[in-house]
Amino acid sequence: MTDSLLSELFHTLNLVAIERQPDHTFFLRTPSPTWLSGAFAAAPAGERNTLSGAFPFLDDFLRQASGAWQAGAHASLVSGPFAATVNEDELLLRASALTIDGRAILVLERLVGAADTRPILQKARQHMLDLEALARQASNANAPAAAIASAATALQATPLSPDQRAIVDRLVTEVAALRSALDGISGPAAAPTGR
Amino acid sequence: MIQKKVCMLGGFAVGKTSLVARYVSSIFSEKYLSTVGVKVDKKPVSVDGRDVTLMIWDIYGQDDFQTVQHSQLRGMSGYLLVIDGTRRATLDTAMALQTLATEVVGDVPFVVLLNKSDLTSTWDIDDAGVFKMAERGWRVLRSSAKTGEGVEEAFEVLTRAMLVDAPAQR
Repeated sequence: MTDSLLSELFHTLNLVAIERQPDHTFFLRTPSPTWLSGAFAAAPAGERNTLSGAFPFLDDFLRQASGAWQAGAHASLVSGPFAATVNEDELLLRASALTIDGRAILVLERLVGAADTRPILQKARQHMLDLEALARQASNANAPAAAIASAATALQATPLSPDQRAIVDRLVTEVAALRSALDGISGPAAAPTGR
Repeated sequence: MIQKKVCMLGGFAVGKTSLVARYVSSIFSEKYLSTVGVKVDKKPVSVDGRDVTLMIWDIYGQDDFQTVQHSQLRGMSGYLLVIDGTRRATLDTAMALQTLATEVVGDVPFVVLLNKSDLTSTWDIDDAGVFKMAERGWRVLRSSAKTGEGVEEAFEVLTRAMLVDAPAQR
């Protein structure tokens, strides 16, 4: 890990490798990137090398990682993305606990570019919210459309001139088409998402 | 100092992040910013003379794109189950998440928040929906991250329940 090429590679990929020592303190094995330095500067004094307090999420992850490290070579643990505020910037990070040659390694990755899925998810969810709003509007329009359909059907049963009947028949057909379209909008979008 | 892990659970865009921002930093933004992953905030509180640090886990909203992981729930002492009062579908998501939480951590205290109470003109949860939750013995509060209504109260009620090792809710 001391190789300059590897160091440069880690830096370019926004990765940092940290080794857990037998006394459970941590030792940086790659150059510390700016974003990590900022986080450690914010950690309580005297706790830097334990990583405690650097990121609250990481404290929890390290407890789980201890189990993976104790399990040995074949066990690894990857956290999901987690957000951490460093110098007023919200960073998206991911942690991995690995065992390499019997050594407990923690890899922190800053998720940027394509790895940062926030813009895509934001857009997708905004579309879902828009779709839900549209479904609600369609659902609200269904009641008056049903009332018109009912009135038109009642009107069909009354004595009408041929011209009047043609108008009412057309009204019944058009309202049925409208209700079908409204059902098409409100049906799928109104279904609950997730589990 | 006692430390308690509290999770914010609910569907997407129900206001979990806004509730945390209101509670921890007393701020509110109208802009919806989708949460990816988890963000943990610390909040020291004092309830009934006992000092507690709440570790508030703002977990991304459950939907077709992201599913809440068991590992994120482990170790939690209680949770706020957030429902968007203007979107009925978020009630079903909350019900599913309550079942998941019980599977993972057992019966721990939780409070249901019917959020966005400032938008009652577009309210979409009827009395039957609220009754369904009350019937299960769930504690339901109305809240608004925008006005602050019910926010402090929700965390206080939950903290108190966590501290007394409250009998489990169904």
